[in-house]
Formats: sequence, C-alpha cells, structure tokens
Amino acid sequence: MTVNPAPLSPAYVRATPFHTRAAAANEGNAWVARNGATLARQYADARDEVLAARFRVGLIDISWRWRLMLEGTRAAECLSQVMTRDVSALAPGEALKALWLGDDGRVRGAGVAARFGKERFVLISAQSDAPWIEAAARRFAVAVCQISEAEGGLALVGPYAAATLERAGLDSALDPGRFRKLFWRGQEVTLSRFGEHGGYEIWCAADDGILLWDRLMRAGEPFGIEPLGMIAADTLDLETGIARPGRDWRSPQPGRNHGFSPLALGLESLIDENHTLFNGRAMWLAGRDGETRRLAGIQIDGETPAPHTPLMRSGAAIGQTLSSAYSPALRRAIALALVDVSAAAPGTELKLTLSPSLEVPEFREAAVRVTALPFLPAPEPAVL
Amino acid sequence: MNHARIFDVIVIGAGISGLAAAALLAREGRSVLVVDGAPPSPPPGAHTLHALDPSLLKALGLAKRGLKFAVRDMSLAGLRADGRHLILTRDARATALGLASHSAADAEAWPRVYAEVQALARAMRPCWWDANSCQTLAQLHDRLEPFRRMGAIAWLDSRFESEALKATLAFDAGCGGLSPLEPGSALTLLWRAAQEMCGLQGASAMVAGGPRALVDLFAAAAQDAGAELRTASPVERILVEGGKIAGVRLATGEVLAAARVLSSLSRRLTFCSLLSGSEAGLGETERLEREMPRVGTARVTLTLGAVPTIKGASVPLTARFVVAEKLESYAVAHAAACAGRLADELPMEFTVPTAADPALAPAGRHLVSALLRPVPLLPPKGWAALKSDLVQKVLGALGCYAPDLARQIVDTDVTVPDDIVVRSGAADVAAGVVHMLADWDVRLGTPLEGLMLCGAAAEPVPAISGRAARHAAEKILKDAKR
Repeated sequence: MTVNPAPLSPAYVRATPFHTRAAAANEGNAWVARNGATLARQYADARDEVLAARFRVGLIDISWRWRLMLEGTRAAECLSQVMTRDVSALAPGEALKALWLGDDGRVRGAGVAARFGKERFVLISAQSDAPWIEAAARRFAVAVCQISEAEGGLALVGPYAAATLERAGLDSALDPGRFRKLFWRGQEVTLSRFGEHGGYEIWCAADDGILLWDRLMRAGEPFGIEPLGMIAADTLDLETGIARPGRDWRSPQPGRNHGFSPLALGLESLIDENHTLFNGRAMWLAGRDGETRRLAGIQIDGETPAPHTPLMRSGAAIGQTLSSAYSPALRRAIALALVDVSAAAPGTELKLTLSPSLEVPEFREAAVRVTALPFLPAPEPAVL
Repeated sequence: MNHARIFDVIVIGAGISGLAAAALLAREGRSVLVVDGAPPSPPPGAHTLHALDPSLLKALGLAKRGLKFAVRDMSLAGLRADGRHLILTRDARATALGLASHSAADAEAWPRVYAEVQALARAMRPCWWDANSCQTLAQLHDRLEPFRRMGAIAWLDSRFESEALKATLAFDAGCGGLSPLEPGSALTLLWRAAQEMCGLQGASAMVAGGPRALVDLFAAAAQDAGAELRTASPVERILVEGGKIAGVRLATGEVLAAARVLSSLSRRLTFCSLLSGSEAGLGETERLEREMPRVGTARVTLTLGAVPTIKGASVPLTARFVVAEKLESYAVAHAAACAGRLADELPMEFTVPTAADPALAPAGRHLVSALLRPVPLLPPKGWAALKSDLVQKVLGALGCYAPDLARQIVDTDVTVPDDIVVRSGAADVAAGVVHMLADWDVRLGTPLEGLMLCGAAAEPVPAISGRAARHAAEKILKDAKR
C-alpha cells in the first residue's frame, strides 16, 4: 500500500476550511460528499452526537451550504421577484426564509435571504440553483458571486450554545433572523441566527477556519461540546420536521422530476400572501386547491430508517417517505413523508416495507404511525 | 389628473389578425382599442394567400364589403432549366399526364397521393380549425404518425421518385420556419393542404387590389363594428398588476387601461420586449430569449417595364413558380443560413401579381414578387451588406428561366427577415410538431390572466390567417358569458 505523502492535505479532497480539524476528530475516517465538499459522516458515534446537540452543545460544519452574493442597485427588486417574500423590507443585518418557485408554481428552492447592505444580499440554501438565480440576476443587471468556497461556516446548536459563545468572547445577544459582522479577537466573523438548526451560525474567511474551530471547541469544553457529522446533523434536521432541499426534495428538472408544490412540502408558511410579485404566483394560487398530498411525520416501530419507501394502507399506496433516520431521543426511526390528505391525520396507522440489510437479509413489513410535526423542538440555546 | 381611459380589450398590432379580433369583439358590444405604431399596413409582399380563415371572412361579411380575388386557384409550377416545367394543379389527372414525361411512376402515384393527403388534411380540420384536437389526434394517430415523424423531404422521398417534383413540393414545407428536412415539416405540408381559399381545399389565391386592399377591408370592418383605431401609438409596455393584466403604456407615456390585452406579435416579442421577466415567468422568458431563431424568409419585389416571359413549356403567369431543382439546395441553404450566409442557390418562390391584377402597378409596369427561404435572420454583419447580394441571386436565378428579365427591371425592393417578422407579427421561432398539434388554448394562452396572443404566432403554422384571432375573440366572449 502506497503511503499518501500528505495524508491530511486538503489538496487531495475538496475540503472545507475545517477539514484538518475534522479529519483529526474523525475516528472512523467516515466521510461523505455534499454539494461537492467533503464532510465527516460521523466523528465517533452519530447517536451520541445527536444527543450531545440535544442536551449539551454541538458544532456542525455547514460550509457546504450554497451561498450566492447578489450586488446591484436592483438587487432587492430582483430577489423580491424571485422569492416568495418581499426582501426590500429587510434592513441590513436582517434575514428571512423564503422559497422560490418555478413558472409552474412548484418549489425550485428554499433558503435564507440575508441583507448585508442597501445593495448587497446573500442567498443561502442547502441546494444550488445557480442557473435560475443567475438568469434572473442578469435581467436586473445584478452581479452574482459564489461565496461558498471563500467562506467557511460552523453551526453551534444546543442549550449551551449561547453559553459557549459568551465564553469564547462573542456577544450572544442576537434575535433569530438577524446577523452581525464582528471583529473578534483578530478575526472577521459574521454571527447569525438563520435558524436552520435552531442555534447560531458563525461564518469566517476560509483561511481562518482552523482558528475558529479551535476557539469554539475550547470555549465549549466545559459544556461537553462535540462536533457533529452529517448523520447527526441530518437527524436533528429531521426531528424539526422541516422538508429540506437536496434531502427530501429536489428542484424540478425537465424530463426528470415534476417538482412539488409548496403545500405538499408543508412550506406554504414561507409564502407571503401579500407579496404579489414573485415568479410562479399565479400557478401557485391556481394549483393550491388541487393539491392532495401533505407533509406528515412518520414514526416507525423499530430502529431501521426507511427513506424513499412507499407507504401502504389496506394494500394501496397512500404516500411515500422522504428522508428517514434513527432518532436517539425518541428511540425509534422517524421519517418525513408525503401522504394523501386522507391519511395525513396524526395517529393514522400505515405500513411500509423495510429493505433488506446486512443484519436482516429479507424484506420486512413495519407498522408506522403518522405523527404531528415537529417530532421534537429544535434544540434552542437557553437564554442566559 | 391622469385618468387612464378604460377599454374592455386592447389589441396590440393593426395587422389583419389584430383588426379581425377587434371587429369580432366590437360588434358584440365590447369597447375595443387597436394600437399600433404605424397605420394598418399589409404584410410586405404578401400577394399570395393560402390560409385565410373562411369562417372569419364569413363572420365579418368581407365578401359583401367587396373582397374579390384576382386569382382563385393558383397552380404550382416547378421551373426547370431545360424548359420542361412541372405544372401541378387541382386536376389530378391533368397533372399526372404532365408528370408522365418526367417519370411514369410519379404520374401513376400522383392522383393517389394527392387524394390521400387531401383526405387526411380534411380529417385534421377539427384539430386545426376548431378546438377539437384531443379526439381528432387520437382517432388519426396512426395516419398522422409518418407526418409527425418525418421531414417533408423524407416523406416526399417515400412517395415520389423524380427529384424535380420532390424539390418543387418541398418548398411549401418550409413556410412554418422549419427546414424541409426537419421532422414536422411534413406536417406543415399537411396543414397547408387542410386550408381553404375561395371554397377550394389547399388552394392559393391572390386578392384583387393586393395585400393593401385586404388590410383596408379588415380595417373598415373593425371600425364599422365600433372598434377604435390609434395608429401613431406604439406600445412600450404591457402593464401588469397583481398577476393580472391592467392595460398598456404607450411610448408617449400615456396609460390605457383594460382587463384584457390581445397581442398579435410573436410570443417572443410580446414576452421579451413588452413585459418584464418574472411577469411572464422567469423560466419561460429565459427560454424564449435563448431560442433565438437563426433562419427566416426575405422578399424581393421587382418592378419591370414589360411582361416577363418564361422560356420553355408554356406556363400560366398566374401560377406560383418554385425555383428549386435539387433537394440538396434546401440542406445547403439551411446550413448557410444558420451560419449567417446566403447560399449560392437559394430556393425561392415567385409570382407575377400583375398578371391577373394589372392595377397593382402603374400602367405598363409589372411586378414580380419573390419569396426566398431560408435566409439568415441575423447575419453577423447585418442585412445592409447582404441586400444587394440577395437581389443578385434573385436576378441570377430568374435569369435562367426568364432571360430578358434583367433588362426589364425598373425598380427593386427588398424586405429583410426582421422587417417581415416585426411587421407581420409572424412567429420568429420555428413551430415544431408540439406547437402544431397543441390545443388552441395552449397557443393562444399566456401565464398572465387576461393576455392572449392572436396573431400569426398563435397559428399552428405561422401564416396570414386570422383563425387565431377568431378563436381568441370567441374565448373572450365565452369567458364573459360565464
């Protein structure tokens, strides 16, 4: 076996700014690619990591999120026409969560629009939709720039997140949906509460990644801070019961998938009724009444996750699961699912077939129950 | 105080389609305004018509208003350098006799193929004339399949053997903007055979008085019905409020309010220049802008000092003459046009309008109207550089068949593709099979409530027809009744 001359060199993998530290902490060398970046699947045991985030504090590498900067005199106008909520009302330092729809009223993307200045916005989403946004920006003479690789981000989640920040020397007083640029102990960082995991996010320049990681891990040590791999991060997401782009649904691609309406994905609250300008509004309003599917939470009797599996009631397919994971807090597997509105009431009993695995090499039927969402509240930082 | 005037319907474009829609709506009591930057003007050089909607002519009573045809049933003449011209008429037997000297097999096949096409075309009328597409397409699926699948040249290859005949017939297949080699062009031939002029199926005719007379008749019909016409008012923008049409804004800044707007321009022009991006759908607008067509048609009109004489076998001067002897000239010309150049041998069709209607030109003068297709739509250096080249090609081609022509020329006029596209509202994107076989609702409708297309772009095959205008008007009247 040839020895890799520089085993932790970021040049060998498409690394995030925190890769060196992540590699050191990654006991089993378990990696996964997301949006082109290499991230730890789990550092030690994913279940322990989820519980750490729920009861103590966890650190998640979120540098893989797609971030696009839009700059121009008509940037607000452009984003308002693309997104389902009006961004012109935002003040610098504020952000909102919204969707953007295709011409047919189906969801193309969901993300956070953050206003950095009068003419500068950053769009953050788990899934890239660059051609669409760039085409729209061209129409308004708005310059776009991908900043995913120039910056790294870490999310701090858990009841002791605020305490960790205070101990690190950052002022944790920040309302949800706001962000602040700071000069902190020699580092330029942006502290935000965009709320994807219910905690804080800290963004820094790529070169400063290691420094940020070290400082936060040191500050969180008395609280039992642990880094979370992707399995744990996705499980936390799943427990909050929100359908995520990339994991639960994809943007519609011509000839491949139809896309989902906002109502089916349970995202209609991200559409402002009073905002009349956004793309796809007419078709969204026209198609609302005809949507027969709803987002529902599924609890599976057992520990095996069942992603993308059809759900059956009396032998007929009544829906299908989206992403699924084992929830250590609930001690069973959970899943998000799209089910017909007739079967979406909490308490409905359904069945699904679990795929064979190494442990159980056969198809098994499992009983599942529809649950109200969210499964568990997001691990909000305790107010200090 | 700025009170916008309110109308029921505003029609953009005072061409035949716009005026037809206005007339139909105004006579049912709607307040209609037709706006255009110029007075109603005929599509340049459009002497030959093959697709006017009979129901529309009847509904507007144009015959009573004085619509007369100078030529009712133009034959199709394929000119050949050796003088043995092909003459194709409605009389299948006479045509077959004429073809016998070129190819016995073709002479034998002609009556059969002609009847087959005419029958299928008639059967397709519920789809193309009325709004009954689903049922018709389901019934005719098997018979339509070769037409959907094949290009015109491939289909002609399967039916006839002589190249001159195939090349002559293939010219008409390009009238939809597709090359005769592309799938869907065979369907264009079928569509042409489904049309009716002067009560005759698949006929081409010339209106007495030329295109100007036709437009004047439509304008009179519209104004008599009560429509208002403003011809010095180019539209700058279609106004949208809350996802619904609110009216138009003219270039002068004046705002005119209406809940419904009909546009006789192409879908691309309507969406990209009269609306802003997300009103029409960001994805749709992006697609329309990207699909810039590269190939178009050009017209050259020659004024001659004497009657042109065509050497060789005698052909009636009232025919449509097609100059395309080889099938490969279509492929070569299409490739050159895509690359922004004029091919050496351009397929063309010409007519002599003054042969049946001498009044179209001053005494002693004669007109030759040539239609050239395919030519580049946007040549890299612009059309100014190519205009004279185009005229030379026309003269060169015509010189083969009418040697005295060059000496008789008094004047030439060239209409370049972009002029034709904008002024006649013809579609500037080649209409494919899907467009041709879609429901009328799909071709007329837009994502914006209250905006519909009504011009040549909404026809299955872009042509001066008025059928789209009739359907659009009917839809508005039906919607109001509910």
